[in-house]
Amino acid sequence: MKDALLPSSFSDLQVWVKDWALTCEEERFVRLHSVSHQELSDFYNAMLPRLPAILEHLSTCRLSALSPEDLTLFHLTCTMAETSHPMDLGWGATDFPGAYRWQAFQFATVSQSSRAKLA
Amino acid sequence: MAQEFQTLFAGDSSQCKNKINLKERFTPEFFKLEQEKIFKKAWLVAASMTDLAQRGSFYVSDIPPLKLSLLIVRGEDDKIRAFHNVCRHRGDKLVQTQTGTTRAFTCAFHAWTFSTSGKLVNITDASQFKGIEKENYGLVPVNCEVWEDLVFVCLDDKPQENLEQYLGPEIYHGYKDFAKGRVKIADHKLVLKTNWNLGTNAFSEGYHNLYIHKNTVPDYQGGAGNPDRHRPYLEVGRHFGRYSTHGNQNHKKTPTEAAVYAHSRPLFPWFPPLDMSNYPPGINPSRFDQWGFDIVHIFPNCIFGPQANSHAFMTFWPIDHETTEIRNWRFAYGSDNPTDAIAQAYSVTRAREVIREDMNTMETTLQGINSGAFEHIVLSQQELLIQNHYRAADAMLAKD
Repeated sequence: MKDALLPSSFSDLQVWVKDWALTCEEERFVRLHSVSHQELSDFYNAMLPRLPAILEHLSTCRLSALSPEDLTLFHLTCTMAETSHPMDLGWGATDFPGAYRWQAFQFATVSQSSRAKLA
Repeated sequence: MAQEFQTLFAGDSSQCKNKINLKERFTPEFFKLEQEKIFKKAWLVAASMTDLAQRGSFYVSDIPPLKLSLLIVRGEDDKIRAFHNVCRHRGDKLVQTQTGTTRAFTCAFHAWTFSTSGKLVNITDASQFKGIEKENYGLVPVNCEVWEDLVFVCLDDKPQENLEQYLGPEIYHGYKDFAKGRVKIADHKLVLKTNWNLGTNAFSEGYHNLYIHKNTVPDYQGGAGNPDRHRPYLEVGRHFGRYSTHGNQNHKKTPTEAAVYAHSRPLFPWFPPLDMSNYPPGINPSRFDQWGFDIVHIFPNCIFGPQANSHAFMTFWPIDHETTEIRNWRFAYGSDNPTDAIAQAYSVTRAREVIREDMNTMETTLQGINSGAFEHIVLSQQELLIQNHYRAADAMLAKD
């Protein structure tokens, strides 16, 4: 993923690809709990205003036949969707009191992106 | 004063008790009784049909309370079979990977090979086995039945009931084809220091949602006319209990939720009005017009959660009297549009955070019960499924 490119109309988001265009739920969950609230906030604030245009673009594509650039955009957007909860819900941190420890989760091979052709 | 929101109750709850002594149920000795009289006798959820989609697809399902590994497989004749995942030669674990597709199973130890229908098809160096006939050494079968998108097994040599009898007509016939076209979107496993009953109980009532889910889904249920979030419908049966939830029609979407659900069908925690004419009768049984989702407890250890466009199966497997493995399988409508997958990714991870709040009660509750501070817990009518869980358990424990 490190060198993957986004579609040209979303090149403004290229800087986020290296660390955030992750291919499965487990990687995204680990990432969420490996960054500071500020780092998460920076990614969220960059992605949120671009979500409508991204989704408009991806809605014209097929999950089973994504171009390499669209696949990268798809993974980047999945990471945003899956790590948006602390920001959306105003936790003020990447985790919140009263949640069972995230490290306990074991993930089987299935994830949303398993239906997309992996790069 | 506004009238209290009334729950429509169904089923026979006359044997349910609202005071339960739990501490006596959480001992090693009691767990032995549960192993023998519940987990060896009941029909248990072992696999999802989405993991058995093609001929030769297999799924290895562990049954922790009985220390068993089972091999569930779709044969070349499309029949689903279950076997003990044990090589018939010397007893090693035959299949080591959880899931996949194959034409045959070859044991890593001495390369005995079995077909997907369980027949022994090849003994290596066969001439050295005197008087051993291949047809007598197939895989050992386990009772197995398919219901909708689930595979159930029963470890009793002679099941007292078939699956239809065990589930009863309300469940067995009430959900026909509901999962058609659905795909698995998440598969989580966790091991907690809790008793399996407490895990199951935590997902069998909605009384708690107003309180412990405020950080994740503060406004998904109830509404102005139902401030205590009473269940609109609640039913108990011999081996099941189920209720419907009240979807808040004034739910405020988060910024990300609003963006991603603009391109998908409604998903948790958004429950707008729904035309239910094409849904089978088991889903939202009372056809409550502000329906959110249902919770169906399938005794002993499965929580089935149907929603408009998705569903979940959670199972709670005792490893011992104070250790439980939790499996969380989530499904949603199939689609080749990336925006559906993104919306489903959003929904399933939002629900994952909700589940983390539920799980956070399970270990401390076991500690509290085991402290012996008091003799019995008390349960409300909104917690009737928990009452029914222990009624069903006691009925099975009382059988010879």
